[in-house]
Amino acid sequence: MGRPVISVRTALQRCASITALGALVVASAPAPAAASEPFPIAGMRDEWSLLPRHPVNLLLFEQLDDEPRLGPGLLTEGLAFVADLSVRSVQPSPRAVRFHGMFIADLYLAARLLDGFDANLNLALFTPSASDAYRSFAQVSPGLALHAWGSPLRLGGSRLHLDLVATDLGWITTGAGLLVEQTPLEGILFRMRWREHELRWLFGGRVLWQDDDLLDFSLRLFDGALALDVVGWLIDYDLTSDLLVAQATGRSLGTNVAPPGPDAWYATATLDLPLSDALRVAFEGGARIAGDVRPALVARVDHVLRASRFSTHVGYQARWYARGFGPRNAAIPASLPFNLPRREDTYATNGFELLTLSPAFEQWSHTAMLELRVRPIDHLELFADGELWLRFARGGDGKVLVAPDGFVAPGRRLDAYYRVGASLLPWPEHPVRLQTFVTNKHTESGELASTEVRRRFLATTAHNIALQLEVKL
Amino acid sequence: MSARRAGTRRTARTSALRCVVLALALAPACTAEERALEDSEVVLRVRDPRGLRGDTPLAWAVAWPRLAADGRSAELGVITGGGRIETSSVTIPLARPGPEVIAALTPRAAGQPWRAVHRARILVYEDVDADGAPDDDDRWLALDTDLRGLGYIADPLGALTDVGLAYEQYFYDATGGRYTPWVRADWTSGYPIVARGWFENVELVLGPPDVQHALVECLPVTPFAGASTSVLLDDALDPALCGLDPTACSTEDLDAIEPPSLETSAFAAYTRTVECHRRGDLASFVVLERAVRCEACRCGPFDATTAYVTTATAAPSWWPCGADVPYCPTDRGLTESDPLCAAAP
Repeated sequence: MGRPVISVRTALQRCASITALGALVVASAPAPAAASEPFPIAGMRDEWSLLPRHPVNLLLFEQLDDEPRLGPGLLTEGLAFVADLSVRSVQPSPRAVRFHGMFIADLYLAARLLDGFDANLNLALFTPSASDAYRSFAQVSPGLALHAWGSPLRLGGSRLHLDLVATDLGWITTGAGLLVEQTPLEGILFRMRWREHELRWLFGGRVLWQDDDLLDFSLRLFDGALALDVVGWLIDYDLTSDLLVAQATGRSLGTNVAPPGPDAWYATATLDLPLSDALRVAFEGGARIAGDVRPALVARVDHVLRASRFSTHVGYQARWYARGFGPRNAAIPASLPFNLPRREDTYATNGFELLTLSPAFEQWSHTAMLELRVRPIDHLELFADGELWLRFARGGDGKVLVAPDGFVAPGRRLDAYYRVGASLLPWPEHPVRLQTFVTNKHTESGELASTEVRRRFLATTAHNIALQLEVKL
Repeated sequence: MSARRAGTRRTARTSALRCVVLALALAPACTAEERALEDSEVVLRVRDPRGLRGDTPLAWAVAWPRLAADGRSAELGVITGGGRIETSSVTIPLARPGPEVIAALTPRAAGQPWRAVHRARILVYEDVDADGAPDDDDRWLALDTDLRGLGYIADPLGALTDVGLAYEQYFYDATGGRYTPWVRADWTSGYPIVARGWFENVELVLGPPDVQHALVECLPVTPFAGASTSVLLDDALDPALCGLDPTACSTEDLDAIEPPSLETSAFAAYTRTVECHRRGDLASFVVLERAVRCEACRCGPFDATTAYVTTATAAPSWWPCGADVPYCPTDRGLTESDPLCAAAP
């Protein structure tokens, strides 16, 4: 696309910014008499999973009752603080895993400054490895989310609720995860909610490539049972380069990458049907609509059973991406700049890998997930998480490409991720756990957690035994 | 829970299961075959500006030079392809050699990101003993020595893994878009990288057999460049014009000698230019031939200049200057070639 699209995009951004600013003014004005409780914002956490979960840097007051904590949570009226503390040691091949001999103090502080205005600060303090020099790679990763909400208007007898969140949006999923799933983003989220229907506008910066942004206009009806999204994946310019290879090939930087843009626009429809408290079926179908229409779909079935002594999640996921569905027109590796073990709270199955190869290949995959939690006695919980991801790619015009995670396309590959172990609970009524587990699911990270990585998890051949102490403060 | 609600949920579950079954049925078949490495091919063009080709049919061979048993010299090594050259142009199929062939080779250079890159050579020869393979009994007439020549990446998948996505285009540029170990490799930097673009063709210019043998046996050759000038004075001129180097200068009756050729050639491996100079009453016809020459494993371009000098007003009957070859206004001496003067007759 040429200039007209950029103009449209600019206009959309300006329009949205003005709308958002207006909403901020409205929402952060002296609290209306009818200020309401904030509604949860769906899509920031996968509810259909038993994988470990941590707080969201938003609506912290509303999360205090979610699970027991060692600390008081609510420090005083209008001030909440929780922390997830963990130390982990990995053996026998810790060098292969960046986060080994590590600690993470994930601190969440929220201040309800006004009735309708929260300031949320998340500080992740961590050191990836005790093998580094003393504290030499200790880092702090802060995220600030200002959240304003209010219900200043009535329509048809029901209040119109407004929310504005910026800039830490947390772990974002659009639709059922066809495009973006459990991906940490910074940006702006604006929501209007009327009865059980919502209209959302989300702008996220730097999603999967250095030069991209994401616009998501979402109409969510019936508490998200049906959602219609128009997504703009904006490609501004191309920073993908690799000095080493550029030098080795004798070419100057800037000549070895695909031309910038054009932006990719998508229309998707999502059905998310909880058929019972335990069973849901979700489906998202969509297409890249600018130029040739390139469809894709994801379907999920999840069964979650939660009981005091026994919990299970059995899930199945299917994805199919037509060639060219991804936002890039060349196979440029997607990358992530926020690489903490928090990623292990998400599934390996993700559009991340599929979107990288999408320009050259048609791809599809099947995933089976299984999580078990058994608590035979008060002081002991046994757990097992497993994920089998079978991927396929065909096409490529006679070429073979090797993705950053080693997947050779065209071809097929089965990846198996697991974590099996036991949690010792010395004080069963308190969230203090000493865990030991065997796992091959390790977050990929550079020396600094903010170094971009092109694969989300290490090779599944890296089997390790981990010893971990977790405290929810 | 009422019986009615429970029934509704059972119906919903049944519907969900049907949806899943339908989705699986509609999913693409589980067929995604891995792609195997391909062979390749290249067009070979043979030039013979010096007329070195004999009566025996020409043949080509793909050779993998390697160290000889003495550990010092090299030999032609394993031959992995060959055939007749019926015309001046032939398409050479480039088959993948067996792993034992590659394992026996020492890569000319190895390093990231292309890992081991081997140099394959195309040899053009006259199969004198008609055994279908080049050996010492045959006349070797050309060897591919271009620094941007045929390369063979021992582990293409590993190389693709190393270079990563977004740079794989270099690999496919160098293979002509094929998933093959055959690349056009560039050794000009001293280490192998893939070159820009596959060959339009490999052009080999026939040269003396001794040079081809030296190029193989001395691999890698020591770079060398040299020049010589010989002057033929018409015997009507004063021999003193030869100066102090009688070995490079002689007097002849230029009317009686075989007239030199006016042919020119502009191949990198063989260049021939002719030019005419004039100084007062004296005129010269200068022939410059540049070709690869080897002396004791020192190989490189050698400029051989032959100057025919006579009186402009009493030139031999074959004298081309002023007619087929114009006089060139140059400040250089009568016996020196001037690149600006190189002209086609």
